[in-house]
Amino acid sequence: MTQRRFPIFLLILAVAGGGIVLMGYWVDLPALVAVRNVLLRWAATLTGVAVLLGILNLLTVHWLKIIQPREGGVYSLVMLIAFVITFLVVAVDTPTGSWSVWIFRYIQLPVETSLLAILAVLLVVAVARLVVRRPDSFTLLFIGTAILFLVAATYLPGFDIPVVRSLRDWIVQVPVVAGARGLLLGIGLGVVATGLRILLGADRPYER
Amino acid sequence: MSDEDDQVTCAECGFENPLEAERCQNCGADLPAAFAENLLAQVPGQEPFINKARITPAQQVHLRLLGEMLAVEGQALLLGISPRRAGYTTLRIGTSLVLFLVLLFSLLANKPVFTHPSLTSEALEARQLVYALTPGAPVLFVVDYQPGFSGEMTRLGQGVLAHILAQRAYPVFLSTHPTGPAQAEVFITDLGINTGIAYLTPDQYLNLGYLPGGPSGLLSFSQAPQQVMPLTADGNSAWQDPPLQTIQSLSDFSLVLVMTEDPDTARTWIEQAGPQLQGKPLMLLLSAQAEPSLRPYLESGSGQVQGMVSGVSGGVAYQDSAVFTLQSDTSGITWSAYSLGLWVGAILLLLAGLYGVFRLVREQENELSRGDKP
Repeated sequence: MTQRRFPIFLLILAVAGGGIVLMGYWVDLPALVAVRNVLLRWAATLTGVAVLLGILNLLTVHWLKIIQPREGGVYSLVMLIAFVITFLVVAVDTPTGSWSVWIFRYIQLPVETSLLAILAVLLVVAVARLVVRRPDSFTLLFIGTAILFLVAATYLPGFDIPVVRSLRDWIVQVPVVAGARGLLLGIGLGVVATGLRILLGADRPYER
Repeated sequence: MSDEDDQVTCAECGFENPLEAERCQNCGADLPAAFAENLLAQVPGQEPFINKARITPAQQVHLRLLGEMLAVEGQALLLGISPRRAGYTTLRIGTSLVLFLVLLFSLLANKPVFTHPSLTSEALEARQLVYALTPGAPVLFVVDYQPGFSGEMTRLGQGVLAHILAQRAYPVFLSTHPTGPAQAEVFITDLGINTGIAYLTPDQYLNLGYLPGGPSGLLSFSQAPQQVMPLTADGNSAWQDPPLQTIQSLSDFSLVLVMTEDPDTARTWIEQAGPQLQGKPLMLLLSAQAEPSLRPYLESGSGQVQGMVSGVSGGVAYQDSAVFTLQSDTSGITWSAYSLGLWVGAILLLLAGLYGVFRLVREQENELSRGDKP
C-alpha cells in the first residue's frame, strides 16, 4: 500500500509545482509569485546539488576501476589526480583566481580547442569521402552549397562575385530562416505537449 | 486463471502448449516464454518474469528479432585494416597537412590578402546599442560558450567588449557554464593585453560567476539577481557598490548581451530572460553555426533580439567599424588565415566532387562496355 501511495504523492507534488510556476506567468498574485520564486530557487539549488552528485558518482566509478585493477585503470588514476588537484586549486584560489585561470588557460582551453580543430579536418575528410563514394544528385547539391557558403564567407580581391554573395544571403535569409522558424515552432509545440503530459500526470519521469 | 491463461501458442504450428513448456510439444520449436527467459538470463539482474506474461504472435516475432539483434551485438567483429581504410588514413593525414601548412604559411607571410567584411544591418543595430550606453551603465555580459570555441568567440566578442569599455559602461559577467567564470577572466585579460589597459575588478568590471539551474536558474536570476547571485566569483559581495546598488531585476541593466555558440542556450536566454527585460535591449554575439537558427528572433520584429553580431566575419567587421583601436591588432592576419582555410576547404571539396563524378562516369562506361559484349 505504501508503495502505491508514494508515486501518487510524487504526482501531486509535480503537478502542484508545475501548476504554480505556470500560473505565475498569467496570474499576478503576489503570494503566487512569491511561491513560484521560491520553487525556482529550489530548482536552481537542486541542480547544483545534482552536479555534485554527478561528480561523486564519476569519482566512485573511477575509484572502483582503480581498486579492482582492469584495463584502462591508469586513466582513472590520472583522472582522479587531476580532479583532486583542480578541486583544491579552485577551492582555495576561487574560480577566478590566478591559479584557477592558469589551469583553464593552459590546460583545458588548448585541449578543447585542439579537439575542435581536429573536428574541422574530419568534417572536410568526411564530406570528401561522401562525395567520392556516393556522388548522387543530393550529394552534389550538398557539396555545391557547402562550397558556396565557404567561398561567400570570405572576401578575396578579384573573386568577390556579387551574385554569389547575393545567393548566399538569399539562402540564409529565406529558406534557412523558414526552416529555422519551423524548427522553433516544432520545439515550442513539443515543449507545450511535454509540459502538459507532465502536468496531467500522463508522463511521470520522476518515477523512473 | 483460465485454461487459456495457462497455455502458450506455438508461433510455428499453432499448437497449444502448457505455460511451463520450453519447446512445442507438437513441432519442437522454441516457445516464446522459454526463449524470452533464455534471453533475459543473459542480462544480469533480470528475473524471468516473462514466463507469467501472455505473448501474442506479433510480440513473439518482435522478441525473436530482439534476440537475434542481441546475439549479433555479443559477437566480436574482426576488424582488419582494409585497403580502403588505409586510403582513408592517408586522406585524413593529407588533408590535415594541407590545411595546417596553408594556415602556417598565411600566418608567417604576415600579409593580409583578404578584404575585411563590412557590417551587416543587425551588427549596425548592435553597434548603436553600445553607442547608446552612458558612463557607468551596467551591462550584463553573458559568457556562455564551450572553451573549444574560444578561437571564434574571442575574435567575435573582443571588439564589442572593447567598445563597451570604451563607452565607460560597466560589464557584469555571468555564465550558465561551469567554465564560464574562468573564460570571462581570460577574455577580459586578453583584451587588456590588446588594448594596453589592465582592467580591474571591481572598478571596471564584475564577475558574478556560475549560475546553476538551467532555465529555472535563469528565470530566477532575471527576477531577483541580488538574491540568486549575492556574491561574485571570488566570494565578495556583489551588489553593495554603485553602479549595481540599484539593480533589483534584469530590466535594471542597460543592456543584456549573450555570447554563445549554442542555439539552445541563446533560445533559453531569449525565452526566459526576455520577458523580464521590459523593453531593455537583448543583444546576441553568436558563433556562425548558431546564427541561422536564431535569426527568426531578430527578424520577427517583436524586439526580442535587438542586435546581433555573428561569426569571425562579424567580429572583424565590428572591430573595424568602432572608434577605438587595439594595440596589437592582428585581425588582418588572422582574418586572412581564416579565409584562406575556408578557400582551401572549398577547393578540397571541389576536387573530391570532381573525382567522384569522374569515377561515376568511368564506372558507367565500364558497365556499358560489358553490356555490349556478347
